[in-house]
Amino acid sequence: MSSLELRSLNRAYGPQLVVEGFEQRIASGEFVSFLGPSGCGKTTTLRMVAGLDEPTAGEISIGKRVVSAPARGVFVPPEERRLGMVFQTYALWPHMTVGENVAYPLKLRGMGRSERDARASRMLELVHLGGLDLRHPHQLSGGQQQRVALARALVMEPEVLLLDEPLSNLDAQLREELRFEIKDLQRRLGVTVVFVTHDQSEAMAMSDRIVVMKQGRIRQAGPPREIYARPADLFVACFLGAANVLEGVVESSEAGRCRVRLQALPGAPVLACRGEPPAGRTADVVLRPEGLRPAPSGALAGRVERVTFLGDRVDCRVACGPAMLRVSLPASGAPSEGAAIALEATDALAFGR
Amino acid sequence: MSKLGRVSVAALLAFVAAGLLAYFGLLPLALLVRHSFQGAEPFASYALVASRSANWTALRGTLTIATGAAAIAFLLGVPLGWLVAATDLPMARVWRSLLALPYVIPAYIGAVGWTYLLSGKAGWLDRLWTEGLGLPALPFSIYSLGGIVFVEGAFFSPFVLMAVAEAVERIDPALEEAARVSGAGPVRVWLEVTWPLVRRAALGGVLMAFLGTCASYGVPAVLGPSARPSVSVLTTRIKGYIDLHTTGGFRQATALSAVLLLAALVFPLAERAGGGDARAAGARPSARRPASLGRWRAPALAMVAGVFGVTTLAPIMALGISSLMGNVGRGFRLENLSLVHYWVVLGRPDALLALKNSVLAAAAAATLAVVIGTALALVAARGGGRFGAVLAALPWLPYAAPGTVLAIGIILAFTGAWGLNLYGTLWMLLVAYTAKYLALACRMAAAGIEQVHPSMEEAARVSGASRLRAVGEVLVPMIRGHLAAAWFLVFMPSFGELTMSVLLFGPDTPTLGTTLFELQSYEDPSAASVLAVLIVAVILLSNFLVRRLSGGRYGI
Repeated sequence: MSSLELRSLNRAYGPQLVVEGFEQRIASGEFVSFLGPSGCGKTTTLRMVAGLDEPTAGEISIGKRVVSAPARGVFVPPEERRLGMVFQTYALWPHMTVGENVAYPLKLRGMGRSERDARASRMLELVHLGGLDLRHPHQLSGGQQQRVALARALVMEPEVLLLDEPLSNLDAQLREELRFEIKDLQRRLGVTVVFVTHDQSEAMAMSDRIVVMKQGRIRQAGPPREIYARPADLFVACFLGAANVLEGVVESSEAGRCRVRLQALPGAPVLACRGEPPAGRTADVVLRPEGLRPAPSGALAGRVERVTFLGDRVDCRVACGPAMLRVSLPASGAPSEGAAIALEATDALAFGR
Repeated sequence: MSKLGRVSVAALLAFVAAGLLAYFGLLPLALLVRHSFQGAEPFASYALVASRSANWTALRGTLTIATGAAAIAFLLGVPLGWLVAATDLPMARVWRSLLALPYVIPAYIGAVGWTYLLSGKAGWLDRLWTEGLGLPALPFSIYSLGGIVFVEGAFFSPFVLMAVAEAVERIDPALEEAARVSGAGPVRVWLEVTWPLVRRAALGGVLMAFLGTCASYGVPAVLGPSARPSVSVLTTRIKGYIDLHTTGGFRQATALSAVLLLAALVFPLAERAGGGDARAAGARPSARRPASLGRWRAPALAMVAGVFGVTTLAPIMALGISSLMGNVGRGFRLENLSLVHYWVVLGRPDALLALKNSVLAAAAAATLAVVIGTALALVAARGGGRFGAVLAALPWLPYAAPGTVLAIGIILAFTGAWGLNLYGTLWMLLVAYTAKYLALACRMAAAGIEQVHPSMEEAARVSGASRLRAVGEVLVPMIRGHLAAAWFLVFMPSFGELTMSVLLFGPDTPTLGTTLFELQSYEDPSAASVLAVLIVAVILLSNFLVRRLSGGRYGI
């Protein structure tokens, strides 16, 4: 298995930079997600790793081998990078059977028919599709096609596995199931994985580390828990999980903590937040729905406008003056619509403007 | 390995395909235009051409016939296209194919068929009229301006019919339903919703019919000279100049050709309109339910059958019957049925040679066009950028150029001055057919490639396949139906081609078209009808194969 290194990678289309200064080292056997909204450059970056796109500057190494380095005229074509890749569309070849699809990478490496068929069959068993070798892709369900694509990507034991939004075409239940399967396969085979997704829950569930991107740049990289708990900026905070964003003025700030006054809200409450924006400046305060809870002495006073029942929890909309806050509460003892409520904020985050 | 060494195989192929296109398709047209300006002064040939009143008569003839034919195509194509695509006309799909038949059958074959039916005195319809019904002779003959207009209009009407039918199918029926619900009656809906949405496509088809008629050689050549007063058009004038076999004659032919080439400028307009944007904004259209014709169903059916009978069936039947009549003078009798003409034709060395030439040249042109067309379409679709888009548009130039013009350009280019001397060889015809019909193959290949997501090839690349191998083992197998259909789309028009062939064939390279034309005009009309039947049969079979291979999406 190999590590993967991307050094100050740029990709420009004409004057437009779609990836800019991308710098990341992915350890051997690590599962890393590139997460971001569409158009953030995550897929372009993945395609540059695969050799399907060429960087305009920077370097890519797989293990010790430099595969892209435009400054030195180095470009290893995709067929020589020894990667596995699963496409968003699966890209199963309709004129080949399932077995032939999986065996094709082995055929390209000159392996004899009986051996490659045997290995393809074993690979199909590994993804729970044993015995379907002779079917054609169109005879399979979406989830099964996904597994075939995975088997094909893994059959030649690649050093690195690239996954381009592989779950986005599946329904919710199947998606959850496959998440665990992919993770399980990765642990068993120990392959290095780069996973591109716009779904933050997918990224958090599967990754060792997440690279959050926006407009071609890395905004933050780190383990899921760390990014969730200590987002580097407002964008990352809002992209990972739901967030209420309120504007305020920083009253004091020191040692990573600050106090922010929310002037627009009734009573202009002051909240203790994590973060260190300069005093006297405007800041955005992020309150997670699950970080708000009713308390008699709560600083945020409002009225419950709507309560949406979600099973074990309820989703409440609370009007605090001009702001509408989203609050997530346990279903038992939930307030009723129209009731007055005082909320206490925990884990509030502040980001300077 | 360096990047340069890699990309080059695929790039080299694209480069070769582009080079072949430029050399065989574009150079001839450029040379033709250049040649028309050579001589004592730049415009000497044009002045000479303009000083002859016969040329003005020919120009008038071309414009009159093209306008008339376009009008007929419009009047037939719009109502029929709507009837077969949008109504509960019985067997609408079958009628659609039948009415579109003239699209694949060369128009001169229809003209030849009509000469058996309406020739002024001796045609079968004339005799049925005078001898059968005892009426005075018919006041019209197919050998006339009107006859030419009629045959051209009938044979180019499928351009309008197919454009309208496809445009109608693209309309989201909810648009019409919404108008109905808003209170408009069916006629009003047709006029205010349906027609505005198909108008562009219909006009595109009409322009195509106009252009096709301007470029047509066979029909005026078969019917024009015997007309009283005789009818002459630009294409037949140009052929006349070439037949002078003098330098001056040739120069004047190029000047007239350059004038005719102007007509091709309209082509992009027609093509774009034909591509039609009847696709209205909004969600995926719901399934179209055919409009009910009610009590008009029977009259509509009668009209459709009548149009098919008169425009297509009659001349083809006439050819078939003529080819089977043992002795033309003895008329329609069962004992007069005979295959004797078939045996005679199969025994004629010139006819066999023509058959061999046509099969060879058409098959080779089809193969070459598919290979080059696929390469061009691939460059255009997969990362050729703007260069690729231009490259894919270029084959339309020789396609839009009238056959007569292209053929003269090919004579200029490939009689030794530019590296190749192909005069009098089958290669000449091969080049002409490939250059002319490359666009059809290119478009078909592009339609196939468009259906294949690039990730199919990318998956092969990542799996370890080189670019060429990904194309060969993944893309080509996935579009093989399209490629086979593309092959027949080039083969069909090449097999019975006449316009370019009459200018390019040599003593050893007669084709079915040129032989049929000579037999028809001078020697043996029965033998000509045998060849015509043969051409029609092969074309119909090819069309059937196109339909099968493309799952009914292409062919008619």
